[in-house]
Amino acid sequence: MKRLKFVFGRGMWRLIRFSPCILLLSVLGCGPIEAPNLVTSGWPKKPITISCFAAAGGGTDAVSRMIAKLMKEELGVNVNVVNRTGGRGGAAINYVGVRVRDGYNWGGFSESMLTASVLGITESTASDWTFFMLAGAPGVLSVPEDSKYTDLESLVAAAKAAPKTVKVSASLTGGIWHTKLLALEGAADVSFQFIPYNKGSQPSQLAALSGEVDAVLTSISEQAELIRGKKLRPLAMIEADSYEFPERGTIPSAAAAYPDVTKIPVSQFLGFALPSDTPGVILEKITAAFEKIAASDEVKAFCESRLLTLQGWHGEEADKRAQSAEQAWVWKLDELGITVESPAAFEIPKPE
Amino acid sequence: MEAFVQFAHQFVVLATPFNLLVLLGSILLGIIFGALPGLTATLGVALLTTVTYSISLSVETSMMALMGVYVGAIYGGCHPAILLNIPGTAAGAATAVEGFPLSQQGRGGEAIATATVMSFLGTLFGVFAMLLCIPWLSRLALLFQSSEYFLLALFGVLICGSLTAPDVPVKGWIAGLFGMLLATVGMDPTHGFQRFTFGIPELVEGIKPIPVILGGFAIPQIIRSLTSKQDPAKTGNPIQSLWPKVLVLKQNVKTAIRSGLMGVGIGSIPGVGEDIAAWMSYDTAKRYSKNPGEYGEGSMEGVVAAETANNACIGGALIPLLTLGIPGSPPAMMLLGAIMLHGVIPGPRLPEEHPEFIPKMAAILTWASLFMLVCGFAVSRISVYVLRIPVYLLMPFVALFTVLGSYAFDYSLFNVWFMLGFGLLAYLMEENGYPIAPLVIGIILGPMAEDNLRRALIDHQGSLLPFLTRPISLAFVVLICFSLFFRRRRS
Amino acid sequence: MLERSELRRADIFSGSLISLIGGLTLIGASKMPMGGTYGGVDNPWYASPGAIPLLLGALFILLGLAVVVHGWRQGGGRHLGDGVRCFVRDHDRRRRTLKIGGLWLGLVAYVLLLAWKPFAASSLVFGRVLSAQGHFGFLTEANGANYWISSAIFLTLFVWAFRPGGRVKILSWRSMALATTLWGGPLLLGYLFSVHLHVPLP
Repeated sequence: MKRLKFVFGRGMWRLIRFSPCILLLSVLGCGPIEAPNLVTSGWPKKPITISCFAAAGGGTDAVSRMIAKLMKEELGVNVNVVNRTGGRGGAAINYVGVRVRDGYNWGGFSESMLTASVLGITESTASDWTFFMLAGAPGVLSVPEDSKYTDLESLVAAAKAAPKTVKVSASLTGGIWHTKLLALEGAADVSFQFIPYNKGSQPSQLAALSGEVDAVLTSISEQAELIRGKKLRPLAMIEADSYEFPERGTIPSAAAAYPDVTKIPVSQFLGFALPSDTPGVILEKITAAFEKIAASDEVKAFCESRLLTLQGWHGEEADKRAQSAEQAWVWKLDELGITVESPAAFEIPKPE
Repeated sequence: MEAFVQFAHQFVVLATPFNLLVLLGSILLGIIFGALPGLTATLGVALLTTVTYSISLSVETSMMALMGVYVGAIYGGCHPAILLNIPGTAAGAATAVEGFPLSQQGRGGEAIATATVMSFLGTLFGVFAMLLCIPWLSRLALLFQSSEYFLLALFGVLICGSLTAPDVPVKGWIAGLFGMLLATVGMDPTHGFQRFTFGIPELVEGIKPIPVILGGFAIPQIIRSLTSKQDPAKTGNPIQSLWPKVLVLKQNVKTAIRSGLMGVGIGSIPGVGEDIAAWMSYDTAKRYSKNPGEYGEGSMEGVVAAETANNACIGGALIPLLTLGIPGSPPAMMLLGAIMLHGVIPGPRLPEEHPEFIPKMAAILTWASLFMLVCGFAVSRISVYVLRIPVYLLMPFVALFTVLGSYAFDYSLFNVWFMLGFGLLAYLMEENGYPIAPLVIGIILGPMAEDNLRRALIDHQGSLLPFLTRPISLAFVVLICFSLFFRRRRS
Repeated sequence: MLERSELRRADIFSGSLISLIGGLTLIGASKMPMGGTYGGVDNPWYASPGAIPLLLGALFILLGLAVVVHGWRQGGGRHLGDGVRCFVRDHDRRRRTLKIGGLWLGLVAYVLLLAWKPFAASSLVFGRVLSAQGHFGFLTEANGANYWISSAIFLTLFVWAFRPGGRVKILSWRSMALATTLWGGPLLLGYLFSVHLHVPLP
């Protein structure tokens, strides 16, 4: 004993001697904290955190920050955005996934979280989440303004005449725009030379401007300024519907000529999600606030300025969309061979 | 000329007391962010965006705040680099190579003061570039394709590798290549194949630069300081002057101009940031130096080169950001997001739709650099006291920041573990004569080099000819050959 | 850095290790897909995921051997066995190695403490008691209280371990000030970060 006292010094020794009491006290103190009835009554009582899975500065991040600002006004508590970008977004998905279901942790997600499971990043699939989809931008295939291709048909004809010579950039391999490009290839029965660029859509678009690729497929929102500024010329929407571009008229849909483009029903969505087993009382409150936000002028103005399509989907509708997109997408990735886990391992049914 | 009139007008109009107060606060915050290990310009801009957006400040005031943090954070990194040999970024590592020996000689105060003046001048370089050369520099971004990006990244790794090897050059190359090997961990950017991840989900995105920088620079320094045999309280010489020497500044005018130009040019190439600019200008300064023997043992010229280029990058990076909507570096990426949140959409139409916006940003940048100069001198009076704190007290606090910083990067403990493990490895490597700076540069530039090389090869069906037929490419190939050959003959 | 003669001896070890890493990289890289297409992208050998690792692995073997040869030529091979013998016998060096190891393990212990859930729960009680006045509300969160207490304990033990020798009076102004710094520092840091900067704590 004396020796120990000597080693640690008197002050430390006192601390050590009392440590069992401290531990006991703490165990007693922790009892009532996690009791569930305290969680739901009078929710929300403390700040909410949106764990955004994308890096600061992009579209997902911008939408998360706007939701945070408007939710603060609706719910009356602080809403913070934290970019948990580790593991290709898996950090945010896993973090929110294991929290206590008290409604104080939301995930700031976009459509690419649907592929996280088969890429070996997380264990959760779309059915584990309930989604709130605020807005999304449709995909558009564009060429540089001085390109010799004037419409989609001429581009497809060139690719048919000499397969693998028309170079197209569409962000990164296995991402949403690459998947859309694959859908177009399947529908028009051609093969382009896909050139991957990572770190968001901008490098893909820069490559089109610098003439490194012939065409680029990314969201209309990210191309908007380049289209308005007459640097890029839109050829076709890779969506079911055509699009009214404010300054440059109607952009036709690729589905008009190649209806099979819609076979992979993947579309961009930006918004947030909560674990689907969050208490219903809390989800109802969030839904009510979300409906108000989606109808607000600020969101409308935001979507208009960035050419985002307002979605405002939630509940069953959003979940159904997420699940059907997930099925088509992950099986397509499995076909390409870039999955680490088979979709079957997560019991994701194969679409017909 | 018209741009200058606009600029002068904005310079006066923006100087409301409220704006300047916001700027002062954000500059100080930025310097603190830059000076504390692990807190970066990106995080600073991200945090302030939330604040300015949620309390609905006007666009001008918000931009004041954000540019203040950006400029302050890029500059603030020189304090720990010079005083403690703990740079916060790979660009700061170039400053540390020359600045820390100066600090050990008791010239730390002077080095910081010189760095402050040079950061100020570097930022002004960026302002002039924004006003004068925006049409040309925005076109520069379009001249760069995959082959140029690859050569630029390769050049960065190679010069850093042969510049910093204290033992034999081959060890510098090994360190740089080891960095590139570590950079291959994770999902490969071209094909989406997962390499060397061993089933660990955190590794899928690859190894992050911040934990590597913290582990590589801070942990070995903590170990060295705490276990060295000398009495820790007596290692530092007395702090001499806290002002720059006019004679030294005069001698370095040429270096400063050259580095400023390089910083602006490199900054305006999207995706290439402060890291390459600082090392490239440091290399050039050494090559043209009258006393190259000073390098590595404390050369003020080296500090001047690195710091000027570093800050000149800011103005350079703003050019593609404003005219093409393409950010040059991660903090510029965040800045783009912030500008768009505040309702201004950068792109090719910006000069037509908001003709006043670019002169306005230039004016804000000028105000920010002026405040940075004043705050920098003020803060350096406090920060040199760090040298008076006994090491046994200082280093545990540095360790605390290192852990918090690598956690705050993306809020996962995995990065903290990685930082600790890598720190021990870095210490052992340094003991064996392998430099750390090329390793860090290799990790940062490795993906850029590999991704662009493979893309260029796919693009041209495996032909290496485009590397020689494209003019800028050819220039880089010549530059790389020249720099390798030249160096070998001298050593 | 080590002294010159020791460095040449160490070169033989570090060079072989680098060649070994190179070999392992080659083995790993040779298992990567090559040829045809992968993920919808052309995958010729020169652009395959394994191409760069193969190149790097081969370079590592060569450069590692170069380091070994350089070390051997400069006389590093002569006293290869001495290295181990020296380490066992040389009191000073053994002490230094233990010190470095201890320091590193101390850091590891700190992070372990941060991540250890039961400890977080017990520090929460301290936090609740202290934040009763409404100040430092972040201490009512498990991570806030945990961060403060683990960091303060780490700082105290580290400063204690590496302080210069000599007797220290516990009850003196000097040590009181020190204790305030060591316990107040992390408290302030945690407060600033979690409340004002919105950076979550571990």
